[in-house]
Amino acid sequence: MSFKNAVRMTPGLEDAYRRGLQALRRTDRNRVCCGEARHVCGSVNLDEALSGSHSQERRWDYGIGIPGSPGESVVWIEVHPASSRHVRDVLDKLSWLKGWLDSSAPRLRELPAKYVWVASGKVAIPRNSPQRRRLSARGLHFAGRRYEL
Amino acid sequence: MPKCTLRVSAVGQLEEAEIRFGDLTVLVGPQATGKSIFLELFKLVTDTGAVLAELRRYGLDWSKDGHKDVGRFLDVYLGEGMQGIWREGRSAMAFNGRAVDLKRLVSRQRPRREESTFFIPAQRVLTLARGWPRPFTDYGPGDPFAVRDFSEKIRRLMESGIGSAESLFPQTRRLKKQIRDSLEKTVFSGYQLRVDKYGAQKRLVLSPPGEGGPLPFMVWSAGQREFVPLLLGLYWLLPPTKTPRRGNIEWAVVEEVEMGLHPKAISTVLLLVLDLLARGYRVCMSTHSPHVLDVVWALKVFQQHHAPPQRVLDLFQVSRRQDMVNMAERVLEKEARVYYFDPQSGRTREISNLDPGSDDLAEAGWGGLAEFSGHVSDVVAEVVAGSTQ
Repeated sequence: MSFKNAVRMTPGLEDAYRRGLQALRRTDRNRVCCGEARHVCGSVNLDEALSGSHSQERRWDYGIGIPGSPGESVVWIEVHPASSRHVRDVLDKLSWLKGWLDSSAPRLRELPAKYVWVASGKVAIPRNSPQRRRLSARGLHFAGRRYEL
Repeated sequence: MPKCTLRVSAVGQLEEAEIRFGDLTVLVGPQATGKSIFLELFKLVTDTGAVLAELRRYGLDWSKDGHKDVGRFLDVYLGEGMQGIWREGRSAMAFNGRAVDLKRLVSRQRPRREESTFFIPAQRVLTLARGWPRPFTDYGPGDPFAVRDFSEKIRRLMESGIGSAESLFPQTRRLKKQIRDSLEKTVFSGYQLRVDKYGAQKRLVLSPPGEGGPLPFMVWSAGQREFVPLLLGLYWLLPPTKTPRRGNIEWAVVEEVEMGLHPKAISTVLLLVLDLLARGYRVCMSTHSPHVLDVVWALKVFQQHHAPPQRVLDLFQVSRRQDMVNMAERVLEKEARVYYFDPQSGRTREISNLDPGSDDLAEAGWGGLAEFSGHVSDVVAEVVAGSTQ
């Protein structure tokens, strides 16, 4: 299934699909480098789209569809301040995302996924820190200030 | 802080190394990228008179066909086989912006001056033979000057009053109490460093707390064998009086401060380095330990955010005694610079910001010291993310 169709078939995201990186807030588009537009098959702003139905929950920011063989995959991106005291917040959001995918987004859940944290400002988590290892033990890649798709 | 720069071009692996020294300067980079050569050349340019006088005193002669020869000098100074690192017509040095004529420098007949740089070499474990510092003359003519000179200095230190003290460590008049207590725990595990005799020969031993005979040098842990020469070097630099520094010494060069040490012991040694800084020494270190850069990075962040000196002590989890707070306050006024010796280009790059988010991988990865750990995290994250599908 394509990323576009998976998004459109997910309750709450029917109108949330956007082409390229258009779903990302303007300030966040610069944080994701995709080279050419064909390297992206759409995006969705989860935080905005589900703000009504999941208003009290720690929602993840974005999903970006990536073309590939044999099929498309998704990169789930959270833009967040990056110091060690934010690690728990982001891991809570990751737990929310995975729970929501399991319970409410089976089509998206089927797509191969990568989970990425992009810093919204200065980075204060050294590469050799236990906090970085905590993130990776949960399958979360910390990309620093910019992520290259 | 007076400006001090050294530039070395086309010497050995060094294509172009230019360092502007801070109060604390840290050199990082893979093995055999020229860090040691650079530091030994720094010692040479800062203490030329003293170095040449010491070599001559022990009968070393680098003449060839009646003239002082640069190649032979480098074999004597840096060690056998090093003459090839200096390429006639290409190699060059400049100290504080002024070109250094190495040929003229090694021919100097000027009187000896007081030294300004104390050098603690990476090979310091070799200075204790059978538990006692080796004299200069115990080494071969092809052994590096830095090792021979350091060995001789700590031998003379031991032959002076310090060698007749009941206990070498701990000593109440030496080192701040917090630092002594920390060393006792992290390096010596309660053992006392003493001077003993084996027959008529003096030797350093570790005496256990309570029952049990003294332990000679070869039975010590690797970390203890590495650390004791460093301790003696630090005793040399840190007089047991109210005088903050020794003589005219301005610079303390310490190679691979972390050698053989557990991270808890490295923390304690870094406290000693901070004490050197607080006393007004300018410290230059080479390191392969990310632990060292953890501290440098933290100090920079503290300076940027005007953190109180107590936070420096929090880094090391030591109590906030006034003498330690005073030390930390002085440390926060110091400037630290970090340079990466790049093996690909043979050039140095300043990575002083140590920004983990930098686009420059050399800076973000702290000159390679944090790179592998970061890479491991990335691969693990991919595996975990993939396995949940």
